Amino acid sequence: MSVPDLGRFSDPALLILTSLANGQKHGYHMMEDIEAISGIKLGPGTLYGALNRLEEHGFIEGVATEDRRKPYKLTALGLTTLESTLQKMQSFTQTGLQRLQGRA
Amino acid sequence: MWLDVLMRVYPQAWRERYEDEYRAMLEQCDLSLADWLDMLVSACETRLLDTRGYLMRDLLNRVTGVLVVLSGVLMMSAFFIPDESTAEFFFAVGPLLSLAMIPAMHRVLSIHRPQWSGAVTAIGVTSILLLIVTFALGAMAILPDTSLMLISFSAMVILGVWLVSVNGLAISTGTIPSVLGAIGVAIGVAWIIVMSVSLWTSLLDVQLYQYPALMTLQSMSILMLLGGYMLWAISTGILFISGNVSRKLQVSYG
Repeated sequence: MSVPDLGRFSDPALLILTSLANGQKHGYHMMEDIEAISGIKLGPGTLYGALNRLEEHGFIEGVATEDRRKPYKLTALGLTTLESTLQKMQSFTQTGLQRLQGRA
Repeated sequence: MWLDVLMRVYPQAWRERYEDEYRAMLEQCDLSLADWLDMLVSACETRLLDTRGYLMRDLLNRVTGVLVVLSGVLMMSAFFIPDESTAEFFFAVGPLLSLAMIPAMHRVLSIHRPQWSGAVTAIGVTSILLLIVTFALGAMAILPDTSLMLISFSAMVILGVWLVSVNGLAISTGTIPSVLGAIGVAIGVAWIIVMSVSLWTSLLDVQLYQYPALMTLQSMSILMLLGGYMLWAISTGILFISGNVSRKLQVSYG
């Protein structure tokens, strides 16, 4: 299973899932973390557009809290989906790098 | 102030679900012009998708409602039509029209219970596929009549199981009024009884009048089926046409 086609939110979705891989985070924390790990600054609208779709698809869920800033965490489905997507990307990356080395 | 304006662009249901936490996050952000643009595009996109999706679902629900009401009316008219072949046609076409309920109920129930709704829809689709297979095999004449009868009756019994399960699920999720759901469950049970008894008598060549209790049960089930079905089809159809079901689908965030 891989991250479904979420239109222009597909890439942000993968970034969000990866950000949540090491534990629950709220929106602002996610934006900071994503910028730190990928160098990509997600806009607030894009972030919440992707969060909305990921929640609809059952990949993430909100965590109950008193705080207005609601944290999100991966569901079991989100975890396996992320794992499978990253493994596919890893295999793709390795193939690409090997081909580049073959040219040298 | 600009944030209030922006929030108004989002659909009501989205705001109910996300506005508070969204604002809480924005309070921490140092918003640039690019961020404002990003928020505006996202808000317009959410509004557009929400409206378009809702209108399409609403239209489908209303068309389903018309088909189901028509189904009940045809069944009822069949009793008053003197011409036997027309009455038989109405009796055959009536229930077929109500099959439009299978995807319609799936659209509604999957919002509340996705897994259960998937299983229930699979039951309904299986029965339709079996009916199509029976029809195709019958046309090709490659199977003996007994086998065809067995497949078609099985399809009918599965359809009864769908009626029971879909109405049960609709009651538990509050999708349709409990009374209407209970009538639907009763129709499903009556349908299963009628089909099972018919299959049994046909396969074993049994005369039903030799079993008075069974004959009474069969007669009562047929009466329940006819009366209950017309009531259920017309009432459920009106519920779909009125937009009542669509409004329940409108709030789909979170």
